[in-house]
Amino acid sequence: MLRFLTGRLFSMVVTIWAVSFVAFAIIQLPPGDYLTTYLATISAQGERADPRAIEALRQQYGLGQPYLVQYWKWITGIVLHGDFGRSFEWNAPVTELIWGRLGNSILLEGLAVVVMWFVALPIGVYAAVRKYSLGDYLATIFGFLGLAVPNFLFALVLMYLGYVWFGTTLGGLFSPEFENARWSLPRIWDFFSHAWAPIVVLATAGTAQLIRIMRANLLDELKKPYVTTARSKGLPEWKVILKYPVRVALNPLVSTIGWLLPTLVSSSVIVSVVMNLPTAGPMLLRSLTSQDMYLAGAIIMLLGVLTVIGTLISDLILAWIDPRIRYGGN
Amino acid sequence: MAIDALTQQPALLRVKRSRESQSALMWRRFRQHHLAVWSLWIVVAFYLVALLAEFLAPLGPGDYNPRYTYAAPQGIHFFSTDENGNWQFGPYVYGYKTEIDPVALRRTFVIDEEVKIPIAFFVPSEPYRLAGFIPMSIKLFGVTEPRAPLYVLGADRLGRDLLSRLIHGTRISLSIGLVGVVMSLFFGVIIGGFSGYYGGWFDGAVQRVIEFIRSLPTIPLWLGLAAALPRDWSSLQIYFAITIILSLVGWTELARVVRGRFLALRTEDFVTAAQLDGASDWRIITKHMVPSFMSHIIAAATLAVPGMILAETALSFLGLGLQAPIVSWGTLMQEAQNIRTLASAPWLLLPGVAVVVVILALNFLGDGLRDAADPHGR
Amino acid sequence: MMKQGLRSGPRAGHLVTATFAAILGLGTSALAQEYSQAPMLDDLVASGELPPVEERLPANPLVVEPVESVGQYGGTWRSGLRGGGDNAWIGRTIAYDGLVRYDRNWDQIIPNIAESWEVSDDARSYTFELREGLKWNNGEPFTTEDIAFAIELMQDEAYPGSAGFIDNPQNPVSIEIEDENTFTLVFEQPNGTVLDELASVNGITIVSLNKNYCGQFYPKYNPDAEALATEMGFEGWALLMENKCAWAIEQERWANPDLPMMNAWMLTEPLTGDATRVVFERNPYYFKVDPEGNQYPYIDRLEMRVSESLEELTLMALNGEIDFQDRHIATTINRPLFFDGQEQGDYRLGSNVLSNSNTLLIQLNFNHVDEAKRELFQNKDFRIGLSHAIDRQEIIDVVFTGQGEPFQVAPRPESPFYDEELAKQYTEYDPELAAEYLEKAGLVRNGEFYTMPDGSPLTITIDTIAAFRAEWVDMLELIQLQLAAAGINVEINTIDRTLFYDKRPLGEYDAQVWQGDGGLDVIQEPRYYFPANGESVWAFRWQAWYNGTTPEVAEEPVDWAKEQMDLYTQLRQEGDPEARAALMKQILAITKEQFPVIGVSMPGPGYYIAKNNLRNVADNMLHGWLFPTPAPYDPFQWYFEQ
Repeated sequence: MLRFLTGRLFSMVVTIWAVSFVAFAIIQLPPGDYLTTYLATISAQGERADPRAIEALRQQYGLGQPYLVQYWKWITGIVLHGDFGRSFEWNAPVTELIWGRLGNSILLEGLAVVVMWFVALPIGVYAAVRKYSLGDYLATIFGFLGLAVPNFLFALVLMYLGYVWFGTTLGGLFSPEFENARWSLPRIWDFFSHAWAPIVVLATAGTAQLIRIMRANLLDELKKPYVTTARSKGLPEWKVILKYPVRVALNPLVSTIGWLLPTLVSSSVIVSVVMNLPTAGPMLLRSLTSQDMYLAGAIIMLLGVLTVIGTLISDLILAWIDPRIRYGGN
Repeated sequence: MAIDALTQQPALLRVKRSRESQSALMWRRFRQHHLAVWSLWIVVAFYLVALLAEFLAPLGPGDYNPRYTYAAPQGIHFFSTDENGNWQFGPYVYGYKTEIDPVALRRTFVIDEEVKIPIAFFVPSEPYRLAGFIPMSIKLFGVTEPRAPLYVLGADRLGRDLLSRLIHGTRISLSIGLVGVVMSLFFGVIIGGFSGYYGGWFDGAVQRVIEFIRSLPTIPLWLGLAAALPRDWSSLQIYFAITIILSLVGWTELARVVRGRFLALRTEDFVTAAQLDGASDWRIITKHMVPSFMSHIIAAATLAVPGMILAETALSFLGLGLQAPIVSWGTLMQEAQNIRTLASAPWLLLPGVAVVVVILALNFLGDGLRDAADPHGR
Repeated sequence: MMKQGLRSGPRAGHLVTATFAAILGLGTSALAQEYSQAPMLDDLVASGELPPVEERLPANPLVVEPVESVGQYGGTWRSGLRGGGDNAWIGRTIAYDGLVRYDRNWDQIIPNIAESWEVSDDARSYTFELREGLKWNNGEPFTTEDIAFAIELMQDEAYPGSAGFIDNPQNPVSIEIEDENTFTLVFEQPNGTVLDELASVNGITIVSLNKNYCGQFYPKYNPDAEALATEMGFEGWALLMENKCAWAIEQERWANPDLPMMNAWMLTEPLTGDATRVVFERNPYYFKVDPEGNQYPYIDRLEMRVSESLEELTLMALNGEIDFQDRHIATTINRPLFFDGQEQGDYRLGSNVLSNSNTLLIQLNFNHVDEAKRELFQNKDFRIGLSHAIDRQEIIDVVFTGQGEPFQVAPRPESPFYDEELAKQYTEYDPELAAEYLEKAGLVRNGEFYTMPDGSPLTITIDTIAAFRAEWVDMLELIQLQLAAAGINVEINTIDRTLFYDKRPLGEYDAQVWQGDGGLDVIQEPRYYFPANGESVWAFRWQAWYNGTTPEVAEEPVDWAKEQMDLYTQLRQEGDPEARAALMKQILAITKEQFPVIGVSMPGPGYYIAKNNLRNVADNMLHGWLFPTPAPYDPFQWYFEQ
């Protein structure tokens, strides 16, 4: 186990380093820099900027330096001081801006995962037990509908129905009065009265995959001799299915966290933009378009790191419950 | 991913000799999956639409008419009664009565059942080139009266025919999926193939790279890359760049599938036999191994297309993918992505329905193909 | 709309306050009155945290007549900001309290923080008298020292801020302080436009830097400022100053609640990168009262939702969760939606008169690096031909549901500079006339399209930004088809906004589009009437020659443009409004003769959304940028009817 753990940890560090390098490369790719974008923005608002002031700013921000120099400064800052650089747009340290947003992202995505499992597992079990039945087809179609409806469309339709049916605005995560309040029961209630909509949108997007995997795994298990034995011994059908096959089929599901996370992060970016959720997504989109590079780089990198850690955790759980993986090596 | 390995490998171990040919077996098995069979026809129909877009669409994607902005769908009627009350066949649409409300700033359209506009088939049109090279000057259907409105699925904010735009958009969106997957396949098969065939350090390295790419959240990656596209590129260049960006992530999944197959196959007798015969590695891979799991590749590729299509719509929505005046499902949906449309012109969301149908069909088709690709399994 | 505000006579001339009191219908009786305050402040005064209202107000508070009636205290004005960096809405709602301001008709300049002013005969020195006893929103006295500090900081080479006339190298200014309330701005050369600049949205810079607070970040007043900056993680004092007292760099304003201000509401929850809302609360020291002596503002709080989602803001307005807003949501396309939702959302639509003269204008590049194209684009006949080939009414019908009228780049009918001929010339759709002019310009029709005189093909690529105005792409697609029918091959190039900007000095673009700024603010924003500034994209190199910026691309303009530049230079130095108007008219006469930029249509009326219980809101508002609507309509006197 220890060897497995150290091996995984080492490869995780390497992966995270690579993620940071790629993240920084991506934000450097677009032509121009933050200041050219800034100039364009304020001129679009009808204002004019002084070119001299802009030149002075460019010097201060160190925007003219070569890629590797900028990267080295950035990565050493992160490793040595936990300093992710400054956001140009907000003239504030990146670390001040992102943690709250990332927290919201993790919270929402975590809740979405929970909902997904709760929906997908029963459907998956049912679809496997009643293979090729009408119920199987309906369940599958229902699951895949969630996958097929583009998230942004689904979110917008929900918002519009909220207006037409309930006269409320489905957006954000809190009502104004709870925006900056401390956590309390009313605030939790307020949170869920807002968050259910994005959670539903996020969860539907991934449910189909979970159903598919659960169904396939269970189908494999159901054909095994021990199931037949159990049946022939006269165990009630629900017990036959739930007692062992479902539990065995659940194991590989743990590993789905690994790919669930990148998918969720991606769809949460889009849902957050439509529904104005204070997650990392809209901030990332904004910083990418305004070329606020340290902010964008930090968010891309941290989302990547989150995913890597998520994968690691799911690997560890899997190794813990399934010795074959721990010792089999790969 | 462990799941697939678990589901697929046991199946392989049970491969038996059989009299029926591989493809016949597959087809037999595929046909048991009714949903998949239906899906196949739907997918084929959509790709036909994409291929014959100019012929099928009554109007060009940019043809506008100021008198019919936000005109509601007319629907097609097939039977009418003449003065004597006799039924007669002949498709037609009703005309519109319009009024402008200067305060609310809106045109209201009422279907005018007094006016019947007959629809004719194979109507002559401006010359065009079907699929870019076959010169033609005939359209599948249209109206014969000049200037008569034909908005079967309604019109958008400039009075452009949604049906025609949807048909033209089909070409871009479906081909993005296809081209993207072909590119993914190319990289996936080559890289995954070599990785699985040679194993060793090369395999290890490729596995790490794949793991790394798959650990990147895709949207930020696409966003970053799409934002990095040179801004003075033409729409065609952007189109290809977007497909490349999408397949940059897409190839990993296919490479994984291919590698798994190779790992399983390389110890098979017929591969060893070929090696003993002195066949080159290239020949063994392309002549012996690839054909034996072609079906798996097709299934995996089919399952990858929907992701590409959805990704294109997502990028367009975020304003970083294809942009108007290019017509794709993504750009059509982006134009419809506002409260105003939902409230007063919901028919503009039809591209979303098209997306849903195609994604569903492709998924079921892929599932059916995957099940069928293991003719002896399960 | 540059009927200059009252200009006082010679140095010993009369003070203007009395005149304005008369104009606004105010008596001096308010002065003798007792003042009252908002109930939310009563407890604070009772507990001694705040001094009584009489001590908070200046000796001579500004009495402002409400639009309808004296109002009631209380309530929260809810509105929305679009994502980060959307400072403009804050500027338009609360940050319009400079030394002077425009009146509600945008034609006179009236006192504000300054009680009165005098202008010397040569228009070189301006003496301002501040109200006695003005206070920042933290209670500290506001004096001429604060103004001197702002000028000193903005003029500091090491500080990157730019602040219009304060650090204009072509006409340097200095400040002379007489006493706590009296100071004089002395310009090296005559300056006839400074009062307009001070009355515009940009006029607040000079009154927005509290010396006591901001001085602590300035090495001159705090020797440890540099060390302080380093300690707080900033590279140099200037970055810390920007962070704390950001009045130079637009995007960082409203991020520091500690920065004292002079506005009706003060910042309590700042606009930072991760903010989900921005909150302002009443400034207990605000220097304005209503005719009954009630201290403004009436409304207690402002709450601005920070939203990346336009659809969310739209829905909030529909649900009645926005009390007043026009920015972002009041678009042509949304109008039917908002119209239908009035009853459910309990709001009303009011009307905005936009200051833009045009929905879209096409600026052909007079300074193209390609000789042939340059010659063609400078050819007036060619532009006339293009203009006649555009079916403006069709565009108005399709894109704007019939709202607006065909219009060139010209002052709007509401403006004293309106000239029907300038506005309407060459706007009729006439393909034959178009063909005639295009041939006169030397083009040859060769099959489908015209070619250059030498037979080489002609394609005009028009650059546009899709993200800025959604209707531009629609309009351009129609124009493309219309021009193609007339034989001109046009390509639409949708590019990113940064590239749009970067391309200008290079001179390789054929044409760029924009909206018609300067429809009402004719003198202040003449960029399309002559090569006036960097936004004059049609003659970027000529304006570079005029302004001395980017000298590496500057080119000497043709004679008529030089004549316009001379006239504008004179105008800037002219103190007399009548004389300035006359000069502007001469410039416009040349514009009419030369027809440099092609316009499409005048925008129809815009609208705003206001809750039905929000009173004292003007029914019709002029809408500009320099005139930052709705702030000149005095939101501090708006109130919620209870």
